[in-house]
Amino acid sequence: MSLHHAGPDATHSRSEWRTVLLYIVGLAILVSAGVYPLRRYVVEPRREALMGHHEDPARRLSEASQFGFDTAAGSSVRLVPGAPTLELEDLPGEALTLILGGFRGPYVVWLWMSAEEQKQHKIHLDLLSWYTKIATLQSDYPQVWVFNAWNLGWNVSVQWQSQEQKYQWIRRAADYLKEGYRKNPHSTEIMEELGRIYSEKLGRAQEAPYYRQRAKEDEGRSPFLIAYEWYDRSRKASALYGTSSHSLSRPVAYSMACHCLTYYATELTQQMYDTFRASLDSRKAGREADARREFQEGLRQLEQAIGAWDWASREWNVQASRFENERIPADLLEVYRRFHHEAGEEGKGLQTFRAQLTYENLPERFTQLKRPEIQ
Amino acid sequence: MALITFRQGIRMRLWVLVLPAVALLVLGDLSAPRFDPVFEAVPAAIGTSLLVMAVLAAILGIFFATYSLPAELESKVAFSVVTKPVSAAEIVAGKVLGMSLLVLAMLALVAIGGYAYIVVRASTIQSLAAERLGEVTHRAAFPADLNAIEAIARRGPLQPYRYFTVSSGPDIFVDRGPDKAAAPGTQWILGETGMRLVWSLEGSPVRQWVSAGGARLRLRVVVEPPPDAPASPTPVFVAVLPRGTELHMNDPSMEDPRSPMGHVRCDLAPSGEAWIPLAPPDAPPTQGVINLPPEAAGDLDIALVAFKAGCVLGAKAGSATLVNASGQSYVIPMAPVAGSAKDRRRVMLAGRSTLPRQVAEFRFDDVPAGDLGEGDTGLEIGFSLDAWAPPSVQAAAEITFTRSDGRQQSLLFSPEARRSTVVYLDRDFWHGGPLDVRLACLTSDDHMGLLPESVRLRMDGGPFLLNYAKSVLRVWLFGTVLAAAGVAASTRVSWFVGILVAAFFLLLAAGRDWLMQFPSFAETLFLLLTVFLVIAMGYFLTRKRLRWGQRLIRVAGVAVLCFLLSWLFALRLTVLHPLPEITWLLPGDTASAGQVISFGEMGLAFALAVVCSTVLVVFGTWLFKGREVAA
Repeated sequence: MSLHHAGPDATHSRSEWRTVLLYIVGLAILVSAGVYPLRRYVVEPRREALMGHHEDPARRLSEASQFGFDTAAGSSVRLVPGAPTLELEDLPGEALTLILGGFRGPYVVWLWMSAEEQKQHKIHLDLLSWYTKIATLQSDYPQVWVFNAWNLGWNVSVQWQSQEQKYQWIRRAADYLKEGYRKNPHSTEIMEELGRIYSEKLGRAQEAPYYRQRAKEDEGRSPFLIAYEWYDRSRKASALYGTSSHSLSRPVAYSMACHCLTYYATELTQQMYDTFRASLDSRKAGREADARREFQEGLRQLEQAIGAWDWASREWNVQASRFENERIPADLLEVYRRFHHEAGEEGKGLQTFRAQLTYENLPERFTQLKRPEIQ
Repeated sequence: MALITFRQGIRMRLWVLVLPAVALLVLGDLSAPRFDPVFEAVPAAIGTSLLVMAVLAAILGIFFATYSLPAELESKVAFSVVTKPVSAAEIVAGKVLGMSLLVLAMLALVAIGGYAYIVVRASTIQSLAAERLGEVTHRAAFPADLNAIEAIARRGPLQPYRYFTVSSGPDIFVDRGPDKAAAPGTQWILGETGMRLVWSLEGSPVRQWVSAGGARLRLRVVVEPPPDAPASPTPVFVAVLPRGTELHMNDPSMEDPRSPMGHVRCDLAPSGEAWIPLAPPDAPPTQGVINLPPEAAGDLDIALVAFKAGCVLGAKAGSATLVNASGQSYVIPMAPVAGSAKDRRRVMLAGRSTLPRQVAEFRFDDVPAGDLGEGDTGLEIGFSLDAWAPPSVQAAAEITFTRSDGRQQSLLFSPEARRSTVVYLDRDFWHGGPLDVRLACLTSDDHMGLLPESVRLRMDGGPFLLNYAKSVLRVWLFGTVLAAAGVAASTRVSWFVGILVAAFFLLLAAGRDWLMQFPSFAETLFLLLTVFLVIAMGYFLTRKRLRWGQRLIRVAGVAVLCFLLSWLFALRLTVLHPLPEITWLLPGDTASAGQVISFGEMGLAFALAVVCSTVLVVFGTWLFKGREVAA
C-alpha cells in the first residue's frame, strides 16, 4: 500500500492542519482589523487620561491656535495638540506591536543589542532600519527617539568623511525625531532635541558653514530659525502640559530659543558683512554693476539683521521678565539682562550704520564694521 | 519514497506559504528605511528575499520534515511500507530527498516573486540615481566622485561583480617630484610621516667596542629641506632596537629618565651628519647617549625617523659608521631599508598637499582581458581614514594608473571612510594586462590607513539572475540539511519532540561560532543540555520491563559517564567542534551586495550539505531500525 492512499487518520490530520491554518489566518485578520480602532479609541484616550489631559475640545482648539495649526500638527493636519496622530501607514507597526504580545520586550532588547553592536563595530548599513524598528515597537518612549537620534546625528555622522554624507546623517536624525514628535506631541525632550540638532549640529559644528548652506537649500530657512521654532514649541508645550526637560533646568531650557535668535541675528550680520565686502571687491575690480547689485543685496540683509537683533533683544527681555519673580540664580538673571542689552546695542549699532550708509561711502564706513563670530 | 513525500507536501497545500513569504519579503523591505537608497536599497532587497527564503526553509525543516514520519507511524501507513522490500535507509533517505525537493520547489516559487520584486525595485533605483546625479553634480568635489552613481544611473544597480586581488603592495615610498635627480641605491623617507630608515647591525663589532670603552655612531644622510624653506637643522629620532621590535615613539616609558635610554632626539645638521654616543646596557642613563639593549635581545637595528614636515632624508650603503674609543671605524656595509608607519595591520599613508609626499603603490600582475566582461571595471579601496585634519577640510586623494607600456592616467577623488571607495577605470585606457596603481593623500595633516587586502579590482560578475540563482541554491542546501535533521529526529520521537530536537539542532549549529567565543558559558550550557539529553536518551533506550529503580541506576550511570567524558575530552571539542556551521551554507552579506559566488564556493557548499545530510540519514536510519516497526 502506498503512502498516498492514506487512511482516515491521515485525512483527519490533514483537516487538522487546515483548521490550524485557518485559525492563524483568521487571527491575523482579526488582529489587523482590530488594532487600529483599539489603539485610536481605547489605548490613546487611556494614555491621555493617565497623563492628566482632560481639556475639553474647545479649549484644546484654542490652545492649538497658539501653536499655529500647521506647525503644531507636525506633518499631518491635526486640530488637537497633544494627541498623537495615527496614520494608516502606522498600521503594520501597530499590528506588529500587538501581535508580538509578550515577546515584544525580548525582541526589542535583542534589537537594541544588535543595533548597539553594529554601531560599535561601525557598521552603518542597517542602523537606520534597526532604529526605526526599535522606535516602531517603543514609539511611546520619547527617550528612545532622542537617544537614537543622538547616535545618528552626533556619533554616526562624524565617522563619515565627506561633509555631504555627514550632513545626510544629521538630516536622518532630524527626520527620525520629527517622526518621534508625531508620535509624542507632548514631549518637550523631542522638541528640544530637534532644536539642538538644528542649532548645535547644523548651526554651530565645525562644518557648520557647509551645513547651514545645505539646510537652507533643503528647508529654505536658516537652521537657527528652525531651531528657534522647535525650542519655542518646547517652551509652549512645557507651559501647557507641565512636562519638562530631563537634561536642562526650566530657565536654561527656555533660554535656548533666545540663544537661537542671537545666533540667527549674528548669521545675518555675517552675511551682510560678506555681501558688502563682495561689493567692495567688485568695485575694485571695476565691475560697477555687480558692485551696485551686491550693495543693494547687502542693504536688504542689513535690514534683516537689524530686525533679527531687535527680535533677539525682545526675546531676552521676555526671558528675563519671565523668571524675575521665580527663585532662580541671580547671576542667571543677570546674564539674560546682559544678553538683552547686548542684542539691543548690536541692533542700534547697525541702525546707526544703516542711517549713514550710502553706496559712495561704503569703503569708508565698511572699515568700522566687524564681522561677528557665531560662538 | 521521495516522490511520495513530495506529493504529501503538495497535498497538504504547503505552497500557500509562498504568498505570505513574498508579501513578507516586499513589506519587510519597504518598511526598512535606508540611509542611501541608491546604493543600499537593492542589496537590502536581495538580503531580505534570501532571509525570507531561509526562514521558510527552516520552517519546512523544523515543522514539516519532523511531521511526515510520525504521522505515518501513527496512522499505521508506515507498517505497510516497511513490509515491502524497502530498507530503513531507503525510507529515511527517501524522506530526506522528498523534503529537499519540496524545499527546492517552494524556494523556487518564492525566488520568482523575489526576483520580480528586485527587478522592479532596481528600475526605480536606477531612475532615482539619474535624478540624484542631476542634484549632486554641482556639489561633487571631483568628477570621479560621481563615478559610482553614474554607473548605477547608466546600467542599473543589478551589476554583480567579482574581485581580482592585488598581486603586491602596498609599497610606501616618497614621491620627490619630477625635477629631482634620481639617486640609485638611495632609500628615502619623508619627515612627519612615521617613515623610518633602518640599518642592520648584524655582524658589526658594536657590542665589543661599546663594552671595551664606548663607541659612537656616525650618520651621514642626504637632507632635502622642504621646498621654499631655508636649510636648517632637522630634528630626528634615532634608536637602537632589537630586531623585529616595532618602534613606538610615543611610548611614555621611553621618556623615563630612570630607564636605559634606547634612543636619542637630536638635530641633524643641514649637511646630514650626526654623531651619537653609544653606551653599554647597564651604564647610567644619560641624555643624548643611547644605551644598547641587553645582550639577550639578539641582533640589533638602528632606526632613524625625521620630524620636519616636507623634509626628505635619503641614505644608501655606507651612510652609517661605528667609531670606537681608539678611533677605529666600521662602516655598515648594507644599505638601510625604508619602512613606513603601521598601526596593527594598517599601513599609514600621510597626506600632503604639495610635493614631496608619500605614495602607496599596488601592482596587479596581468589581469586577463577576457575576465573584464562587459561591465565597468573599478578599483575598490577600503580606506580607514584618521581625520587628523579639521572636519571642515574635505579629504582629497589622487590615484594614478600605469599600464605596462608606461602610459598613465590620474584621477582626483574624495575618499570615504565608512564604505568602500570605487574609482572606475576607463575601458579605452586599460583593457587587461598588468596594472600599477599609485595612491596619494592630498590633504595635509591627514592620514589614510590602508589594509593590504582592501585594495582590489572590481570586475563584471556576469548576469544577476545567475548569481541570484546561486544564492537561492545555497538556501536550498541549508534547507536540505535542516530537513535531514528533522527527518532524522522524527524517526525516533513524536512530532512535537521532533520539532524541539530540530529547532535545537538549528540553534546549536547556527550559534556554534558565537558560542565558541564564550567557552565557559558554552561549556556550562552544553554540559547541562548534554546531561538532559543523556537522561532522555537513557529513558528511551532502557527496556520497559526494567523496574524504575534499575532504570534510574542505568540512566544515572550513562549520565555520569557522559558527564565525565565531556569534561575529559573538553566539551567544546566533543560537542561544538564536530558540529557543522550550517549557516555557512547560507549566502552571506557579500552575495546580497552583489559579489559573485564562485563555483568553487558552491562546490564546497554542496559537499558540506551532502556530507551533513548523509551523516544525518545514517544516524536517522540507525534510530529508525531501533523502532519496532522497522526492526
